[in-house]
Amino acid sequence: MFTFKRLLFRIHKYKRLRASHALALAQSALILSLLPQSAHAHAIAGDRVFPATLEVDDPSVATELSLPSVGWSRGSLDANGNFPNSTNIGAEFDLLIAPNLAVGISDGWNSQTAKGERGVYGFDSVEVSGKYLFYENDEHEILMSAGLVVDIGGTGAANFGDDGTSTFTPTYYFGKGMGDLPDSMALLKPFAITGTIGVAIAQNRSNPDVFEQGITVQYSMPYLKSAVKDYDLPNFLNHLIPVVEIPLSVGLNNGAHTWGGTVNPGIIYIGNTWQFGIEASLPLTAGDQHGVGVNGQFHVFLDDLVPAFFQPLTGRI
Amino acid sequence: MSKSTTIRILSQATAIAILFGSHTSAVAHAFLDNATPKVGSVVTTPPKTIRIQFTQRVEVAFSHIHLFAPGGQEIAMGPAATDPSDQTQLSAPVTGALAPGQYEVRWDVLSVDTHRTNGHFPFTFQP
Repeated sequence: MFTFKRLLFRIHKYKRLRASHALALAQSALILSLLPQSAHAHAIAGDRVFPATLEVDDPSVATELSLPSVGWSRGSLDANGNFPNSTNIGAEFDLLIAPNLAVGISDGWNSQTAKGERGVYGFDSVEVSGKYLFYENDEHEILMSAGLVVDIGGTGAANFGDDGTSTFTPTYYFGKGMGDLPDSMALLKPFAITGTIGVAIAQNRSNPDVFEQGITVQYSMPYLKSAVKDYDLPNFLNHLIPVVEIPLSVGLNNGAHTWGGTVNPGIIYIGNTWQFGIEASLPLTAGDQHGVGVNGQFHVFLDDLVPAFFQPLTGRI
Repeated sequence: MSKSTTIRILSQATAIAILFGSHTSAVAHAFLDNATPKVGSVVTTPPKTIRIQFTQRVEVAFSHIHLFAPGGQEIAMGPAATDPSDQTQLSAPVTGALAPGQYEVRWDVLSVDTHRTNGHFPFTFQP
């Protein structure tokens, strides 16, 4: 049974882990800064730049930082008749260690509050990942990657789902731009889709394994201007990418066969070294969320912002 | 480590990153910002030069512009050069003859921070 003392122990343990992770990252950054090598970055296939989407991970490998990622929504009806406010503030750092291989680490802090109730606060489990870009086709604007995401058990708060066991999610990532459509469909060329398919395998076999999939549909105004037709639109508009993200999941066993997910329409402003995105979050099913939520993210392409500092450990393009 | 300490550290790390960025000259991937002839435009006289303005400075020795006719055959062009006062502008003279039709410009460049990018865009010559 969960106790407050146990929660404090977990948070303390988690903070020690965070400190060691930070030290490791600092050491890595120092090493990388000493290596004079070339690098590839961004999610680029020919004319196409796939932005970093907020909910569904994009198919690229790059050195980049999402800080902060903020999400707010109202939870489902609780025992006191409230729809609690749920807020998550997170960050993710990804590091290119070879031209097609990146590792990442992320975490988030949660708060859940409701009128007249004691607030609940805590961190998510620390998430580490590795992703390998195994296919790139510039002509047809295709990227494909495969990776493994690990939620490290015991590094998060128990009241936010960490039961001390880990979850392993092998994931396939893809992106496809529509730039190869015939010229008679030129205005559709800026469209692109990206997606992920994965299965979260629980270390604790009494927990359900979960099939996770996500898809995004996006329309790139930068692509329209640079590869289809320059309409002399205001510069601000030429940096926008309207996007709809649809993350979905369903339990596969242990009696958890309910679909859950949201539809997230939003917009991303993309510059050369950073981007900002904001989305609404509309629940598709009567699950954990009540009403419309909001997600926002500031994202930095570190290997473009500080190219001499963030280079892959090996290889050139 | 308290929450406020964590936030302070993250803020400082971000500030340092931005500081590094501001002390680094404008470097990143070079993407097409605008071109002459304009992307997707219809021109009534054949262009003498293809000029592309990129979002970053490019290395001329590793940057190219090619022009292709409607049937796919390559049109003769002179060597690409950057503007001496603006290394983000790459241009190449068109030396071959152009018949009416839709042409495709293909470019590939190396930005000064060694990122490679490439792309293409159409324009139509209709006298």
